[in-house]
Amino acid sequence: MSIEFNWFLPTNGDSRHLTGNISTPQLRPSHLTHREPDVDYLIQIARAAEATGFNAALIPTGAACEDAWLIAAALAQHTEKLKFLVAFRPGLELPAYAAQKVAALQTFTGNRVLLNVVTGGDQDQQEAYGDFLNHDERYLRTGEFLQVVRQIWQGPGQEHSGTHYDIRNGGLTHPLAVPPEIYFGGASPAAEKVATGGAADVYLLWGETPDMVNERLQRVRSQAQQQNRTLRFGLRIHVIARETESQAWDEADRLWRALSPETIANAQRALRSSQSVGQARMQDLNDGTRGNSVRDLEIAPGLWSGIGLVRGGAGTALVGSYQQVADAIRQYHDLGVDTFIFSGYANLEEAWRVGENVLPRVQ
Amino acid sequence: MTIELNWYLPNHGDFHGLTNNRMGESSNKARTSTPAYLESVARAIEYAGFNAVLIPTGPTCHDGWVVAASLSQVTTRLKFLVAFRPGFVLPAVAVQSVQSLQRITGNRLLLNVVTGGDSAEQRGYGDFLNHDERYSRTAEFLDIVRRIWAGKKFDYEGQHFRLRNAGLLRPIDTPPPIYFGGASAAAEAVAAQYSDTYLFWGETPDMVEERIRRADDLASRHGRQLRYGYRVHVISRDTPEQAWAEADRLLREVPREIIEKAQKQLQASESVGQARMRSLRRSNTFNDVRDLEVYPNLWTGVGLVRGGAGTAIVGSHEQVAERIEQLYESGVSSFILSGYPNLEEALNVGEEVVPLLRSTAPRLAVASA
Repeated sequence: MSIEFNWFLPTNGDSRHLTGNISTPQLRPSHLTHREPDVDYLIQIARAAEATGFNAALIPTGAACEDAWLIAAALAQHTEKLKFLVAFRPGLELPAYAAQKVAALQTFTGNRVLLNVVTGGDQDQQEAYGDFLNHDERYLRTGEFLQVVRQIWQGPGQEHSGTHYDIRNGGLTHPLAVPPEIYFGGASPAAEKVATGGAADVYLLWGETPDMVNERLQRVRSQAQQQNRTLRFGLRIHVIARETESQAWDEADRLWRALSPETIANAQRALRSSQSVGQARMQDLNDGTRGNSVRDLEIAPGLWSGIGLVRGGAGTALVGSYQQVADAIRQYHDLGVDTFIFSGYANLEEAWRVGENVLPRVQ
Repeated sequence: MTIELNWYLPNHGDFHGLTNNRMGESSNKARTSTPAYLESVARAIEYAGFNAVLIPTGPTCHDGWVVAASLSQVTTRLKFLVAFRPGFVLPAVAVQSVQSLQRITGNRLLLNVVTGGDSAEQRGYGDFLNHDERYSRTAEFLDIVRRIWAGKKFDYEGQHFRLRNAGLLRPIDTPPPIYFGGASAAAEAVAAQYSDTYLFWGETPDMVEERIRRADDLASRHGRQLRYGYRVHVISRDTPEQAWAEADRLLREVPREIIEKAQKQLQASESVGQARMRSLRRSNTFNDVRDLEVYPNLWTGVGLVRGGAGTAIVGSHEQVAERIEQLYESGVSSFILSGYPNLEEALNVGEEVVPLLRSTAPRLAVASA
């Protein structure tokens, strides 16, 4: 089984601290460093990822993020090989339109697009966009959306009648030469069903413990097998790697010390109101408080849940020496994970560090 | 007020002729709209001193947002007039894309709202509203966009869109101006209330003046004042004879059956603007290239085979400059020009016509960013 390494592009702002990235100045602790997601900065991260051998950059989506399609188009002009894993929410635009946008982006990047479908777990955020479906309906719509997108890619004369979409004589003027692979996130039964029903090529998980990951992989794999499908699996996780184990935990300690109980309490309130099953699984990995020492949040050897105290989505980090982190990656790989999406605080320096020091120890 | 001169990006391919179907000649001179070619055209347009480039939208076009983000990285001053159809994406999402594109381009974005005139084409995208319903949706879309830009969180219950607690996390620094096309009564009402620049295809000056009077009146009822823009092709040469010889070449290269086929398609359009373009010509038959000159230097030959803007200003550089000044006197202050092919003609017009506009009418500044 091959192994694929990707890096995260902080289009919602970056920082050397856990909450310093927040773009809204009033919500950001003012003493923390902050980097705006300007193109000049994002170009540097993309070039770091490309230079150190990463396959793709994940460009996230959300109310606080820049438009991922447009960031990919801009960064393609400054890179040559790096792919772009473009996250997007299928419910917020028509599938035929999205399919045409993908075609343009493939043309302008030289076929370097990968798609990350994010169905959306936060009802309030969806309603602010104008989407009032509930959690399970959204996943069903995602399935239909992706079906239409793949159909439009096949060229002219497409017809579709469905629950959410109708198409009369649609389709690209020419079939799309290179349809991008589709990466899919979602931990609920509704999500698993859509992912294994043909919507996904790669099924993504946030950085849970090896035991939790193993359980999900077995379940999803068997669901897919029942339909004669195979999926690849990806893990989205932060990395805090240094020469030695103690240096790595010192770095985690630095991040941990900067978190005030008030910052944690505010973030926890928001995170625990989410409908996302994946988010709830992340929340279960800590008790919502910082504990007495940084390693109180070490939930499996070298797996730290401190990030999830204040960050939605992926809330854990692999912490350890370069060799320990490489070994941890190999452990997930042995379970069947062949795609990794890493990030760090801050992403520019840490892309270089992980690319130069950890990847060679895995490959 | 300055004259704003913009050029057109051949987002679906560029030709030496009116169509790619040239009689008796191979079509190997057609230029496909590869990223490399579009980059060259954008650089030429910027070099020639134009304010912005119009990036059109449609089934045969690359997505305009993607093109603008991409071309912004190889240009420095050129603005991007991005055409898009409001029915295909939720307004709150479009607003976020606009904000990103402003950041990526350094505030070089202009928006061109295209409601869409062809129901069959809309259905191919999954949009089943009729002509007037589409304009009512465009109105709601722009209403929501402007409310979000205003900064306060709000709830919205419309016919087409519903939002709860909508608003941007960060206020937008520079909301882009909204250019708007559409010639029907439904379109005029929306333009008056929500657009900044109301666009016309290349009609005769008297037709334009009539529309400006009506739109001024409609806009004043909302306490608003509009700018007006004019989308037209240009065939400009050293002498009138050379310009008409070029128009004649373009016309003679189009096979008769291509004209007939194109006319059948264009007549099926629901677009009022398209019908007005057609009405400029008494007939589709002609003996001489100048039979299609419907006003001094305004030639309808392009519209024989092309939808949308179907006229060209044809003449010497001096005549072309005079026509632009005349339209300016009529109230038009923004122009979107194009030629065959666009790279060479952008340079030609930039080098020959633009200096005349500067020197013969010194009170008119030619805008460049």
